[in-house]
Amino acid sequence: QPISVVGSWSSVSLHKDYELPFWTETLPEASDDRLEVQLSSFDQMGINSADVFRYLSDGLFDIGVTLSDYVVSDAPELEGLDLPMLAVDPIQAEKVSEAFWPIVERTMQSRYGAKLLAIAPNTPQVVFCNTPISGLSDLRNRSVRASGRSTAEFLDALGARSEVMDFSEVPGAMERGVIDCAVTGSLSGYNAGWYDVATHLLPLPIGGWDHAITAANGDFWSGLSTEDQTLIATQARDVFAHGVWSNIADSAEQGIACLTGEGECRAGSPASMTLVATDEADLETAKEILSTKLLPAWASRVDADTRALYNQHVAPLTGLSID
Amino acid sequence: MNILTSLASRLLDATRFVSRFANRLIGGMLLLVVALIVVEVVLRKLGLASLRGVTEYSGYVLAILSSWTLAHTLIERAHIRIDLGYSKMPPVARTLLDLVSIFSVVLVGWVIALHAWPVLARSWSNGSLANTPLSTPLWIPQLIWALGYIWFAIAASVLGVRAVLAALLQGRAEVQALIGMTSESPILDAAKEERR
Amino acid sequence: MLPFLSIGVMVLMLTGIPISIVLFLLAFGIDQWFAIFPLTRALGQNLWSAANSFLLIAIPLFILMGEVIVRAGIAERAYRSLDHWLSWLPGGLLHANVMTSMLFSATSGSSVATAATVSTVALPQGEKLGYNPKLFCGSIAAGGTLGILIPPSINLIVYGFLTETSIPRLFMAGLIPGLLLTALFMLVTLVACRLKPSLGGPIRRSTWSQRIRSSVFLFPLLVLFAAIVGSIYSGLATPTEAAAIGVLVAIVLAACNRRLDWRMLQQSLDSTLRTTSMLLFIILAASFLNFALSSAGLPRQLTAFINAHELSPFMLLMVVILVYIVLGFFIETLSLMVITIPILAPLIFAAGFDPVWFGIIVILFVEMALITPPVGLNLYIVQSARPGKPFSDVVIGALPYIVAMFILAAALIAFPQIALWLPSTL
Ligand code: NA
Ligand code: NA
Repeated sequence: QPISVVGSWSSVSLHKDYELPFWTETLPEASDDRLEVQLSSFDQMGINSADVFRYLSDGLFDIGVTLSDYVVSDAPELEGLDLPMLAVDPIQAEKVSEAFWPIVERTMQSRYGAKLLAIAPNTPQVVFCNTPISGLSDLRNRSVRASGRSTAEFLDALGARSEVMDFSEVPGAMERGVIDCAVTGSLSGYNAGWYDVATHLLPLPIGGWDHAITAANGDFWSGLSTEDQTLIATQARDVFAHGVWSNIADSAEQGIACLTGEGECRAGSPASMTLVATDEADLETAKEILSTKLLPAWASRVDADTRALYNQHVAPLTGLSID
Repeated sequence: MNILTSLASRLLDATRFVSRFANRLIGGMLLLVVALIVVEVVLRKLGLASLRGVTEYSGYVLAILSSWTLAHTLIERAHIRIDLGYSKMPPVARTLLDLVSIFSVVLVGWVIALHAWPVLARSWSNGSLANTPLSTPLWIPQLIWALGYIWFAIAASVLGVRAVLAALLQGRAEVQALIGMTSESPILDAAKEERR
Repeated sequence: MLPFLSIGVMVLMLTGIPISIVLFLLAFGIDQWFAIFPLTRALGQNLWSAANSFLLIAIPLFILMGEVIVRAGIAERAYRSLDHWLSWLPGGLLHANVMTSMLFSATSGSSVATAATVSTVALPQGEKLGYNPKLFCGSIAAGGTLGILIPPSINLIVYGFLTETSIPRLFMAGLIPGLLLTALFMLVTLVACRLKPSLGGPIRRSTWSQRIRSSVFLFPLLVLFAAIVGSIYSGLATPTEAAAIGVLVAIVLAACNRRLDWRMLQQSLDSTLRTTSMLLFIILAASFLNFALSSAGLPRQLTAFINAHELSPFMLLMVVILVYIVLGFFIETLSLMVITIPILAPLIFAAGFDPVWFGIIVILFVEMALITPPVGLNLYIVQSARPGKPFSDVVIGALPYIVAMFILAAALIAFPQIALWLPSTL
């Protein structure tokens, strides 16, 4: 019986360029065709992205993938992984995600009885605006569509008004001025044609890196042979996730190149949004909000063990510890 | 035997009363949603602070509406049924089909009610909070929602029992009045009522 | 799986079990016999996630708005005004039926509500003046279908919800085809009554002063349309918010008509909840059935089937349209949409068709399903307003208007810009 895997959004690069070849070709080959996989994605299954891990723990499928931002209702620990501006560049982002591994592993086990297999990013979640801005501080008093709770908290701390809105409603709402700005992945925004309605791009990862978490159902996992467990775990982490991480810098650059025309765009014809330069003052402001508002808020939502794990593994990297 | 019928009748009256009361409350919530949304739009247009959570609470109102209004809709016979085969049957067969229908509602009602409960139980044991700035504990709206499905299952069962008693003791006309198929649409009923 | 579904639908429909319950039973059957995993375990979570939705709250709000407008007597007065303006044309009142439907559509999200409203105001008038009942009833049943093509539209919201297409774009895309279809309906009426004057009724001329004085009664509907559509396109509100604004404006208009009181508001709410409850239960059931079908692999099987037969995009479109026409005979329209869209829309989009444009095509054939027997909700609505008279009158009277729908469908396929031009300019 094939292993049933439910991947992330069928339309995004993470699924098409990484999950699809990994689960349908790389892994079966590595197992000498012992393992057979049936892959779909949560949107094709008609599953709400926030419910994937609930279904995984109910045993509806063997392996499931969803974005950490979507499941913070059930597992607030995962919100820490993707806090706005915790990691500003791709190299730092990969290190942070590795440092978070013990926390995520423990959370998946305790919340869903599931085995963590991989943490892999989409593109950084940046800001699209339909009105001229020259930096982070210009978001004050503007209404901005946020992608999740911590992004909303970050925007509110900046003095912006955060709005909740369906992804598909954003272009129309921005065009008609219902909202001024919106946060989403740079390549997702490019693919959805947001450059038609937005004029300015602020390339700071305000919505984090949009991490996708891959995990296996506990019963399924314990029913595997040790050999298969080792194979799947190492392949998922070292081949699949590593493959995504090694291209993330390039994807981030691609997103910017395709949206602004600055650099070579391989995904199609480049748009001509204005790239807003980020300065030290913006980064300082962001870091200030992160350390005084977001981290303490997150720390208050998780248990003492998680806080200890954070201080032990993540704080040395970011220089921000929690009490 | 008559005692049984009148007992079931009184039980059904009580069920109807509670269901109508639930609908009245939800009607009030719907008007409140209208008011809050309009205030939110005006505040946003004026660039003033926005009411946090209108979107979130409207979603909960719809979820609560989706379960709690089902019982009243069932008792009012407003769930759409297709009369393609039904209308061509002799009266005895129609009565049987009406009973088959009400017991499939009972079955589906209980299956849903029993599966709604774990959603709530998990949010409770997990301490799940909505992924919004308000961080509402999800078990609160989910409890109200799940109770709505349980009430629907109870109401359907009461109606089912009452209809069986009617079929055994009172005759087809009574069954028809309780669970028979109506041909008129609720919207048209309303329009006619208004013209009177 | 497909034979199971078709036989299941047929059998359950013949027994008269409520449609929502039929859909749930089919999903349980799929779980029992075709799925590898215990899908029913996901039932509760599925129902919660689908119902906890800001988007769908637009449905009760648009229904409430229509209820208030009908009870405020606004539709009835508009009809009398259009009678003054249009009854000199061959076909007389038939044109007032179509135009009232169009105007009311601009404020109503539902075809059934539109047909019910126009039936109650028009049928007594038609009988009094001795109109041939066939075309008279047909024009109301067909005119009523405009309710879901001209914005606002509950069915377009459902389509947008299922396919993640922008609802404001869908609304704009429906406007020009809606006006065109109104014109085609009037043209069909005109031609039919020219060829055979007995199909219509007496031609009456009103004075200009009657026309102009009565025009004030068209004003409330225009105000409402401007409030809803205007608030969406001026950037004031999203479609859901516009629905709330519409309710408020309708209540104010009812108050201006001196028809607003607690009893009236209470009746409007009762009726709204009854209709919404029934509709939502069907939508939720269909969304769970869709989850069961995808989990059991139906989309994969269909895609493989289509790839194996190497259908060209045009042939695929024709097959899909044929599916809508055939299913449209038998299945209630909202169920028709929620059952077919999750399966067919991805295939259509993959073949390169525009999601907004396809939404309008779907709505057009859903409108057709509303007036084709044996299951045609609008036919029933008109019929139930004239008890004791032959149902066949309504069915036959609707036929010419089906021709008009085919003409518009052909035009939309040949010139997609009819639908896409307006959303692209706004
Ligand atoms: Na409409
Ligand atoms: Na039909």
